[in-house]
Amino acid sequence: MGEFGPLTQAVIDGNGKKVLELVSKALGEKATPASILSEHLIPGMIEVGKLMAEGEYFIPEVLKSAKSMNGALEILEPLLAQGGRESAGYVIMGTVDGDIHDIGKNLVCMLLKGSGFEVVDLGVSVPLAKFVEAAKAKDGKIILGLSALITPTLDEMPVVIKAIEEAGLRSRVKIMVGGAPVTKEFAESIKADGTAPDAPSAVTLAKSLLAA
Amino acid sequence: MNKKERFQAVREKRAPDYMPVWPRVMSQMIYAKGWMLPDVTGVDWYDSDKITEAVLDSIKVVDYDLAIPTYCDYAFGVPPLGGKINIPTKFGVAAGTTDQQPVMTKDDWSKVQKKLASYDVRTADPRMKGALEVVKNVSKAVGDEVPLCPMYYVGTTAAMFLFRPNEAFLEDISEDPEWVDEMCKLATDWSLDWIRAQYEAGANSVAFIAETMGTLMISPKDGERFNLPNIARVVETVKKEFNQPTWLHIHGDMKTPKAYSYLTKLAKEAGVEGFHFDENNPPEWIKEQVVDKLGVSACIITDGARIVSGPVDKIRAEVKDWMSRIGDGLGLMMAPSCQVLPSTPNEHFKAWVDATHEYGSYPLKK
Repeated sequence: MGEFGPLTQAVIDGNGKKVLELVSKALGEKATPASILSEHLIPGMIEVGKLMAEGEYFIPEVLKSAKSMNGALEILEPLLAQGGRESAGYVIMGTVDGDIHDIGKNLVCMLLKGSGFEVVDLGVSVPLAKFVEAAKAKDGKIILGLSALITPTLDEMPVVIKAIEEAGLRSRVKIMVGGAPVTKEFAESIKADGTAPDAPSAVTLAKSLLAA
Repeated sequence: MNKKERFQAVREKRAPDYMPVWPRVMSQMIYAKGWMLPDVTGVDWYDSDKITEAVLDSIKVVDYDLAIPTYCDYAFGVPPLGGKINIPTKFGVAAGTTDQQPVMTKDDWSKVQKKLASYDVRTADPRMKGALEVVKNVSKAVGDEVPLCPMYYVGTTAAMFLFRPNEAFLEDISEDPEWVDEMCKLATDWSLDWIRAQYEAGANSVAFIAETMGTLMISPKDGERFNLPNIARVVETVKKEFNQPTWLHIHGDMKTPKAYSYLTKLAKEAGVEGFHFDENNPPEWIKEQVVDKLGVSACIITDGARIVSGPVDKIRAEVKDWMSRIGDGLGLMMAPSCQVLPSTPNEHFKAWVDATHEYGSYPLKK
C-alpha cells in the first residue's frame, strides 16, 4: 500500500467518521469541494479498487470504504452543484426484473457518483419498460447499467438490450452489464457493450464507453 | 456400474466406467419440464408430485448421476422466522425471492433466536415439509442405485439467507463480527437439522453444503473465521450421526496463496471430502492442486456460457478438450457452472452429460 494523506487513507480504511471530520476540516480551510473529491476521495477509492483486484479487499471492505465516501459526498454534492461542476456522464442503473439484489449495483452507483457521473438509480427488480422509459427521457449518449446476482435473472439482460434496440435507442445508449454470474463471454454473447469484474472497474468502463 | 457405484469410485479415486455428472439446480429441472416456479410452489405450498417428477426426469432422461431433491431454495425456512417471501412469476427458478428478512435490525435478533429454539424443520415451513416428501418419493423410486444427497447452505451463506438482508450482513462482517459469529453458528445448527431431516427422509449419500460467499465476496481470512469452524462441525456431525462424508460447494478463485491456504484447511482440518468449485478454477488446476495434492475429490466446472449458447457440437468439443487436460482423471466428476440460465435448451444439457459420459470413459484418452 502506498503513502496517502489522512483523508485518502480514511477512505481506504472505511473510517466514515474520520472521513467526515477531515472533509469538514478541509472545507473550513477553504479547500474546494472539487479538489477534496478529485485529490483525496477518488484516489482513495482507486486504491480500494486496486486492493480488491489484488485480492486484499473483498465486498465488506469495499462496502465500508464506499459508504465512507458516500457520507462525504452528501456534504460535497450540494456544494459541487453550486460550483457548476461538469458531469462526467449520465448513467441509468438498475437490477433487472426478478432480482432484488443490490449490493453490487449500489457500490457501482456510489463510485460513479464519486467520479462525477450523474446517476439515476432505478432500484431493484426493475421492469423492462422502466429502463426504456428512463433511457428515452435523457437525450444524448448515455450509459445503461444492468445488474443481476442470481443466475436465472441473467435471462432478462438480453431482453432489456433488445427492447432498447427496438425503441431505436441502441446507437446512443451504451449498455454495461454486471454482477457475480456475469462473464465477459456472457456480456459479448448478449451484445452488451461491456462488463467489469468489480465496482471500481465499472467506473473505468463507463468512462471508456462514453469516450469511444 | 450404477450411479452410486460410479460416484463411489470418484470418491475413492478409482476409475469409474465413465465420469459422472453433477446435476443442475432445481430451477433447471423445473424449467426443463416446461414449468415456472409458481406452477410448483407458493409461499406456503409445495407440489411434491411435480417436483419429484422433475428430479426423476433429471436422472432418467438427462442422465445426471446424482439426485439432490432439495437443490436449492434459499427461502426455505424463512417465513416461520418472520421473513416474507414471494415466488417470482417470470422465471422458473427454484429459490423463493426473499422480500423481507427476519432480522432487519439487531432488535429483531432476540425474537428470531426464540423462534429458532423451538423450530422444527420437518413441520414449520410447508414448503420444506413438501421438499421432504420429494426426498421420500425420489428415494423410493431410485432405491439404493442413485446417490441421493441432502443439501443446504452453511456459515455466512446460511446466516444471510435465513436472517439478514445481503448488504446489511456484509456490513455486519466488518462492523459487528461477534454477532456474525453467533448468526453463523445458529444458521449452521439450523442447517444441520435440515440435513438430518433429509437423511431421515431417505437421503443415502454425501451431505452437500454450499458456501457461496467463498472467496468471491469475503476474504479467506473471514472464511476461516466464520465458515471453517461451522463447516468442520457439519462434517463431524454428519460423519458421526449418518456415517457419511461432506462435500462443499464454494465460490471464488481458490488459486491465490491465501485462498489455497483456506482450501487446504477446509480439506485437512475440517475434513471436507469433495469440492464443487465455480468456473474461476480451471480443470487442470483442480486435478493437480486439489485432487492430487490435497487428496480430496472434486468437480471440474463447465463454462456456463458454452452450455447456454451451444451449439451441441461445440459443447461436445469442449468436453472432449477438458478430458484431455486432466491426466488420469481420477477423483473428478463434471459439474455445471452456476452461470447456466434456466432457459438453456434441455438438449444442451443432454449433449453435455452424454459427451461427458462418452469422452469421459476410463481410462481417459490423452
